[in-house]
Amino acid sequence: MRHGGLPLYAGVALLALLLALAACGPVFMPQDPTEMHTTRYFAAPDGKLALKTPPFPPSAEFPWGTDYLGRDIMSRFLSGCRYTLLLALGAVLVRFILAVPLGLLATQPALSLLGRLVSGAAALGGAVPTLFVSLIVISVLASFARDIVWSVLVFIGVLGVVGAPRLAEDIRRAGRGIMVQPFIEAAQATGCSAARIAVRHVLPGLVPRLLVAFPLEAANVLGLIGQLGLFGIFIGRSFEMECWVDLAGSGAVFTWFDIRIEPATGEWSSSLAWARRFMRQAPWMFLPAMGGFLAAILGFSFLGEGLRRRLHGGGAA
Amino acid sequence: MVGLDETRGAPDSKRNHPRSFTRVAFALARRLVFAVVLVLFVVSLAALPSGIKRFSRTQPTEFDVRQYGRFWVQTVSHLARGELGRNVRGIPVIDMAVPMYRRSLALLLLALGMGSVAGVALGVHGSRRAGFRGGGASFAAALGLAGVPDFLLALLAMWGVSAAAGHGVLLPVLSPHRILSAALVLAVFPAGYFARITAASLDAVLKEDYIRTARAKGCGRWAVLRHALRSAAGDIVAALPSQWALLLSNLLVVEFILYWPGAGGGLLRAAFGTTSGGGPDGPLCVGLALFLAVTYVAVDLGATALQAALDPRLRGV
Repeated sequence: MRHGGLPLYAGVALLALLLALAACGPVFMPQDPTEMHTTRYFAAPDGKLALKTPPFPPSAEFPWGTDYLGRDIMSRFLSGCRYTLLLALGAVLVRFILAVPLGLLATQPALSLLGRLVSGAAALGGAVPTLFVSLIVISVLASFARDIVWSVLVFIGVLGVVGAPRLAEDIRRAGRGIMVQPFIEAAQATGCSAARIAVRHVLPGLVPRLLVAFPLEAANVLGLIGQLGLFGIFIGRSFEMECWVDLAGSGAVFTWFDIRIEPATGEWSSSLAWARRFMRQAPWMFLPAMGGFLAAILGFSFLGEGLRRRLHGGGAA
Repeated sequence: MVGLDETRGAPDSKRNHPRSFTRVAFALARRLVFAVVLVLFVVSLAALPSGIKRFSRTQPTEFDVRQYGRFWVQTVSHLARGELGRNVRGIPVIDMAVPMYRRSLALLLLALGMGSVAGVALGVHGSRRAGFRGGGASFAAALGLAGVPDFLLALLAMWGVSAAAGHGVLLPVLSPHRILSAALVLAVFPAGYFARITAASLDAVLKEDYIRTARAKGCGRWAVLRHALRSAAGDIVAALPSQWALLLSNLLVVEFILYWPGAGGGLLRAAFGTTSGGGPDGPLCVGLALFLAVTYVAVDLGATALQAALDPRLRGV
């Protein structure tokens, strides 16, 4: 096995599994992920019929149990895989679209002011916890978003922008190592512009580093999405629902509490938001989403490390 | 901020220049401008919750730009007078923020200390060229550690602490169980990251000619490693600020979930109105965010100074 191959293969295997779930998962859903099973009757030990409310534990009907609204967790997990991965990849793309041109141009001596701005922005970004910035900015911007499409764009945009300055600074620092090479001096002597040097001469030397950075940034974004989910920030609009049961068909309606629910994408962080509150009473609600996040983050981390060892020969990247 | 790469390329002729006083004054002025920008940036972000007019379960959050502007001006004028003002209950912010900050600093330093010691040990053992038996397992452990999301570990720690104390038993707020479990959770990611950095740097250094010469002269494994670690220490120290920034983000989650009464959890509770029993506590939010930002700047400056102490090429710049 070539050096560094094991993390690479482990990462590829985990991500292949997740991609397969994202592509084909909905085919294997045992139930509709949006269907709510509000009440169940079962035979109590004394022989009478008893009423049970969700969350229901794993059973033949619900292999992984149900959530607090009686929705099948396995179906929601399979349905939410693609949304979670797309969200993370979208945010990483935004990071790269912003950071690569900025970082590359900042390597040029003629644009030293831009270089300082990038360094300063990275330092400012490091001084305030990323989670706090994301929580606050998403909360505020979401107040201006009037539909789900804008909510998604706000979510992806904020997750992308908060990480872009640090990535741009990493690219700038790596690019400056290339800028001292003799071939750059030759390009400058032939009258190449700063932009041309950045794109034609610096960028090719940074491609291996960018390939390594992409999965590592994806792991970083997934971790942030999970953290936001724990604090109740996820894609979707909340609305109020009145929960009630008709006691054994007697006509006596019992209303217990109002609850807010999200549109039924099943995105994993939305599952985490409620699973934390039911962790002791219903641990089955918590395990699938957490397992999904763990597999995805480990997969991207292993892939990044494997690529680093393969492309940089195991040395310092 | 002066980066490592900027100083490495500095020509020797510029060092000890007769006009070095001007250069020092210019560098100080730049840091001062950065400090002012940092404070304004932090205030602008941390003041955002104060502009939120109301949190509602059924309607999107409303953000009042005028309310935000008024609070921003009021906070900046307080800061210009050298004070942090009073929180929404009329208590001086400094009296609330300092104890929280002390508790967070203790937690962060404990976590960083544990993480760096464990990480460097794992990295040395996991380095391929160091030739330890079972090094691959150490490296795999380090990779796995770096990939596990902190919120998962925090939830497991919450469960573990709760089980150890007996479910339903309320632990004292400042119980040693809490700080130790929180520090362990926070230390996991830096341990994995430092292990990767150490292993990668050692692998690069142990390829050098002077190491081969030392081995040829009969130096033992530990003597060679001592030399190599001194060279690799620069990379480890350079990673400190980025690790601190990540620790700050994780601090919020860990303190919030494990109920450690520090600045991270306090920041979230102040932003989302759980400390004041209603709306957000803007002054406390700004005060805590400023404390955390100043700590990051101090760590960044400390790391730069430590790098200069470790690498003679960086001195006198």
